[in-house]
Amino acid sequence: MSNWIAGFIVLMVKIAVVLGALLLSAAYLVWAERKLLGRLQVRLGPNRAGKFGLLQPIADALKMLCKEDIVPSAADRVIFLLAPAVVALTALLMFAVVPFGPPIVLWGREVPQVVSDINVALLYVFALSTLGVYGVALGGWASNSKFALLGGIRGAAQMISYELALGLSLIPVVMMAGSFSLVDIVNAQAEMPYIVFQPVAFAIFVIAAMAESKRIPFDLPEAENELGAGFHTEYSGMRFGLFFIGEYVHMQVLGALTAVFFLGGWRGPLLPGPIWLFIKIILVALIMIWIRGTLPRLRYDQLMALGWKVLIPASLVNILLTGAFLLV
Amino acid sequence: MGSEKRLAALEPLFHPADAVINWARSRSLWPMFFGLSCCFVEEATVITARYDIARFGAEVFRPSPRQADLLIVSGTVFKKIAPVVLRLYEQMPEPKWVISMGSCSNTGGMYDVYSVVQGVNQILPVDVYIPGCPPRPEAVLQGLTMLQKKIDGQEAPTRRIFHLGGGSQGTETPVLVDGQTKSRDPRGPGMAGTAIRGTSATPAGFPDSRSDLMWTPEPHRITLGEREKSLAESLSERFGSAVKARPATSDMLTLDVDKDQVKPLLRYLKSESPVRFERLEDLTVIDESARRERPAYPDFSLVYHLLSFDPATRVRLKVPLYGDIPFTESVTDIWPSANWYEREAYDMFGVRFEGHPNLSRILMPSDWEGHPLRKSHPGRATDMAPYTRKDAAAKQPLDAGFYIQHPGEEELVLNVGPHHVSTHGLLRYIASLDGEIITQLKMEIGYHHRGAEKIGERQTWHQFIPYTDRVDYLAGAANNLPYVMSVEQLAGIRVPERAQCIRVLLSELFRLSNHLVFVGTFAHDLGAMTPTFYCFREREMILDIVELITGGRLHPSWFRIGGVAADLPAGWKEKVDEFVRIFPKKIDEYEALITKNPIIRARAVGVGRISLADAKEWGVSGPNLRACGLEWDLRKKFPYSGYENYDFDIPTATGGDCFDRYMVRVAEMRQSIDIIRQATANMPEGRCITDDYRYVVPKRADMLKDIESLIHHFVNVTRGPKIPRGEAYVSCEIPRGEQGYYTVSDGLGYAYRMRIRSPGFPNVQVLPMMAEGWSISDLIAIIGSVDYILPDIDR
Repeated sequence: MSNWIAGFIVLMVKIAVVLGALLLSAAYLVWAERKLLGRLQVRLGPNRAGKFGLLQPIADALKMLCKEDIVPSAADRVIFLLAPAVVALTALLMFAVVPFGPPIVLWGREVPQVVSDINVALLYVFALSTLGVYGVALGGWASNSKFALLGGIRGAAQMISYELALGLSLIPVVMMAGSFSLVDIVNAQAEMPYIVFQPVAFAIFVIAAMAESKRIPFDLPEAENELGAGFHTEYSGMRFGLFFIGEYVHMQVLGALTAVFFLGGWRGPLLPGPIWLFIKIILVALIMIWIRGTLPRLRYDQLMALGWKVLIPASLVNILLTGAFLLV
Repeated sequence: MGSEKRLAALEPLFHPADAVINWARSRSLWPMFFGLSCCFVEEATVITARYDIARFGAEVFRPSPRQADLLIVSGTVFKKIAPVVLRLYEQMPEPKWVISMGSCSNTGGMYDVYSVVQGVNQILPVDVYIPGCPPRPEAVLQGLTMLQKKIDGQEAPTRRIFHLGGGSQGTETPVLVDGQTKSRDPRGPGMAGTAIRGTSATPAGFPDSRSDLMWTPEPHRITLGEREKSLAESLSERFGSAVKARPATSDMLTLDVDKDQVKPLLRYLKSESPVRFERLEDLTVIDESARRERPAYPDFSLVYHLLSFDPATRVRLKVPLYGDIPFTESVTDIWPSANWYEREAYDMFGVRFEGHPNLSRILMPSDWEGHPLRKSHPGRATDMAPYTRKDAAAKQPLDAGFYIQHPGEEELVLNVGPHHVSTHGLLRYIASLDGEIITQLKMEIGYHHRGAEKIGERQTWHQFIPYTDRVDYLAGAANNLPYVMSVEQLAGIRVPERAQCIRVLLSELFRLSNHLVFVGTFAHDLGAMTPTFYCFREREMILDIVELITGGRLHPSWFRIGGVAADLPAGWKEKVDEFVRIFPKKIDEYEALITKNPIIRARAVGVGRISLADAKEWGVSGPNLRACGLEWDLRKKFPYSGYENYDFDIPTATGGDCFDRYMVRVAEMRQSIDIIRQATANMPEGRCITDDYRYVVPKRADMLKDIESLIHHFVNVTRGPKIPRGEAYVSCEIPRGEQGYYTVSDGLGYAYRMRIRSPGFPNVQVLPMMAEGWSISDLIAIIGSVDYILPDIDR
């Protein structure tokens, strides 16, 4: 019994730490994005709220919390209220299986540095990521606004097609690691990160991941210039904030997954595991911000063509090649 | 009772809570991506490098009102758009704040005209007013910081947030009522009891107009070329007495045509005559009812301007119309582009066109009473009933079903605009969508109708110059040119060479500045956010030069009838030389980011194509026409202001798609740089304004020396010069295309009719042809590539 209670406490602590770190770094990822975009665009970015504008995310969050929460009278109320939570929640839950270090020993107990090491972690990640689509699609649909609806449909179609490429690009990784568990996959990269063996899969994964996170050049569901604000056009206050948080948590999750599958996860010389993972996540996120500052947006049919005609065939070929290589 | 007691115990916490919430709110003011006219350009400039509103945490411009905290009403609030402004404001969540930016939004400003609300505070509560026309970007920052101070210092939101009653947040100033809680006097307060002189029906005349006492020479007359003469002869042979060439004209061959012969004549001129007039350049009406020699004129004159590309020449047809509801035949079956022109003539003058497919109002709201450009219609908003919040709430735009009555099966009818991030101003597209593919596209214009033509009939010849700046607010001084040249043409005023060269210099600088905005926004329309910032960085360099020379930024109002306002200041040459040296490298930089980007190519090449034949048929002009493959540039074909002395090319492309329209403009920037280089190198010495002091304000030194100049100085400063009776049409190649002014004078101190032929009107009319069959994303790309501007379409 006491064993169970101790385990429960450890789990709660881990969840609290991971959640706190995720939300805090999501907030500061927004800050980093605004600062970095500012520099890319030869300007300074926020610098009035706190030193270097460091309190900017806090000001934004406080403001959004105190804002009127509008539900349009023609909206489907329940679904409208639920949708942002779905987006934020699924993004947060995905992090549960990401290992951030080797197991450590505390008071004689071995504590794995992962919230939950399940043996089908990879499938779990995909299941959640697919569920996240519902937030976007239903949010757009429930708003009862045409722009939101178009955004929602775009989001659903885009994420379903890129989910495929994302999944297929990871099959070679699973083949090489021989496991669906993210902990095992990281451990399998003890000697060499998979990016070395699987550069094609890496490229496909990163492109598909950017499409998953709905960022430029794949930000069609919210395409500001075309659809106003897209699927979240009708959302105000903190509900809109939840979409925002969801997006930035998602960025981190994708950064973490990139790290886990291709960059050796938490492994690295000198520094402790969590720090290495953090560095890798931030690196991926910064590259995504950089791309946002550089590229224009694809058109809907071009986006689909890229997914179905380029990424999926390429990942299939990659699977075949990996299989052949492993056999020989 | 218990809860109240507990509340009282919490009371001490409210004050610090207020402070924290106010701190957060004032540092996180997200403005709505909202603009009405010129002021929005300066508002957008605030986001860019030099001003960087992001420092205050306010760069998050939200396209949806639901996510915005701050409405910056930047620009003119038109009666047609006011209901939309009010609705957007109401869609914003509490607490919300309003900044009124610029004179128009503050008070109606210089647009005391029938179509403009005299201050947004008549329909919305306003926190901060930013003065200026337009205010500089720095002023916007000051407005923002003033609002921050107001939030920090005056609001107590905690009680509101917890629904406890009391407390304060957001805008709480009252909405004003015109004539009751605010002055109706367009000159501002303090003029009580002094009547305003003149209305549109009774112009600012005197019992016996003193203008008549001033002698001016006869209007300038040209001698027609052989080609025009033989054309006139062949026409009178063919059509007999129904077509008469006027013996004297100031600008082009002018024919008086009977109403029943006008259609055959137009058909002949377009497709049979030795000189083929392929373009319907302009179609407009003059209400002749206020002529001083009334019997010599019909009730209305219908005026057609036609243009022939090869040889480059124009002709004017004047058709007399009679009766209170005059009517004539529609020519939409000869030129499809006549569609909008005839609707405008109907809207503004009440002229009926028989056989027109859709003769309805185009610029004014559908429920407008009267025809604004008739002399009997009031010109000033202050002569009309006040516009109230009730009006704004009641007069919503027409439903989309009014425009698209028969969408295809399972199609979605989508409104894009009148206020949308990418409509580049107030323009409403109504698209019927099959999936994302546009099957039908309709447009509603007139949301930016500032009554510039009506104002032209009441301001003196000099006073009208600032209004011309604002017709195409990105082209600045380049806009002044066709207006002043039309007056010069009519009065025969000679412009000194130095003034001509300065005009060229400024026109080309503004062409660059305009094309920079085009390049930036085009990339932005395709989703690339960064190029805009680079383009605006260089645009600031240009505006610095403009400011050095003229003292203004967007609206320098710098050209004068007979020259320019003042000579070039010391140090201008170094500044321009430095810019000319730096800028070509910057163009390479944009090309590396945009032209060479595969996504941009995928989005733009082949999209929104229009054929050369269609472009000619519909009156498309400027870079959009050149992108279809026609080497046609007024600077070469009808050289003016000394353009014949410069060595430059006319860039063209062949595809007529979005990418070609972009490429032509980029190539034009390089040519403009060349022209600027030549203009600075060969700047002639001499006067910068004519010495024909009858028409211009004399130099001060001359005024102090001789009595003749002193008299002219007095007259021109007080009631302005008099321009001889007559008419002249002059068109210039402004950045967006061919902008023409058709100036009609009745021999007074102001125009009798001021017609502006804008490039945007025909360029936009053709847009459905480009966009139908493409997707909604392509529509945005096409809109960006056509590069129109609203006051230029709606005037």
